[in-house]
Amino acid sequence: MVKKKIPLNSEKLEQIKGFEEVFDLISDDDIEAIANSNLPIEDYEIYDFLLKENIRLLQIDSLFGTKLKVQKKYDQIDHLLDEQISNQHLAQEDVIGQIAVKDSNFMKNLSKFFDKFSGC
Amino acid sequence: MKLPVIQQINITNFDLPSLKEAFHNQKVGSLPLYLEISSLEKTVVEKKLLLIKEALDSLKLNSFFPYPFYIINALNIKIEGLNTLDSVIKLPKHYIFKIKRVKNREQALLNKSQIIIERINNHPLREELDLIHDQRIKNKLLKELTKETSIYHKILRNIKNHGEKENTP
Repeated sequence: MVKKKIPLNSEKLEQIKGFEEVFDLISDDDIEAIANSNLPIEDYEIYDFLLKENIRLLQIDSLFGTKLKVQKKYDQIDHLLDEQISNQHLAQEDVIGQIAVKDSNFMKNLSKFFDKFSGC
Repeated sequence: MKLPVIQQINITNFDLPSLKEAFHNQKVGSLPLYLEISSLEKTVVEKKLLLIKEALDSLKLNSFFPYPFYIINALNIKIEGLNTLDSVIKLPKHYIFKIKRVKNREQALLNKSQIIIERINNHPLREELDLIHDQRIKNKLLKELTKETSIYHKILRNIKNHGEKENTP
């Protein structure tokens, strides 16, 4: 069976002091040597960028190709606007009906206000 | 297809046929591009912007989709339907990176992008954008109406609560 080499930093090495011989270790110097070697490193920067661009373009296509077509075909906004306008009128009339009565609190407070400033 | 890195278009003749030819050759819409208008006279810049818009409309190209086409003018004059900026510094960093030789897997993605771009260009973008604009206005109106109705309901609730308090012995 092949022994697996475990890379460890100096802190970890201190923790296992006295047991170094038991383990097959890679020191910090070894890691540095590997990092400095001219091994080709896979660069996924452009691949990742293009992948994201493809997703972005697909989303634009879906917006123009599907979502807006559905929106156009089953448009609800005009119906909702009509409904909301009638709701607003009803609520407005209710409020006016409640406060425009002679003995309503609003009228009482209004008359108190005018009385106070007219000096009666 | 090239990598979508933002590049500058240089145009010397600002007449309609030259603009149309330049936009067609530079593949406006298929790559992120920008055009810098150096003039500092408002009337000249406005005239050039209108010509650019006319050229784009006649080629059925859009300044925003699939890839943006920015027009930079220091006076920051805006014209509807054109993607204008006042400085090169404001160009999106997303499209600024070092060009490298593409590998096979990246070329495959670029080919896929090309197909999607053609599909987007086949949509009637102008009409669709107008539809979005109309929807936005209507949604805003609906929001205002709902807000107003909610205020009336709140007033009614307060009147009712106040009346109940007064009636309790």
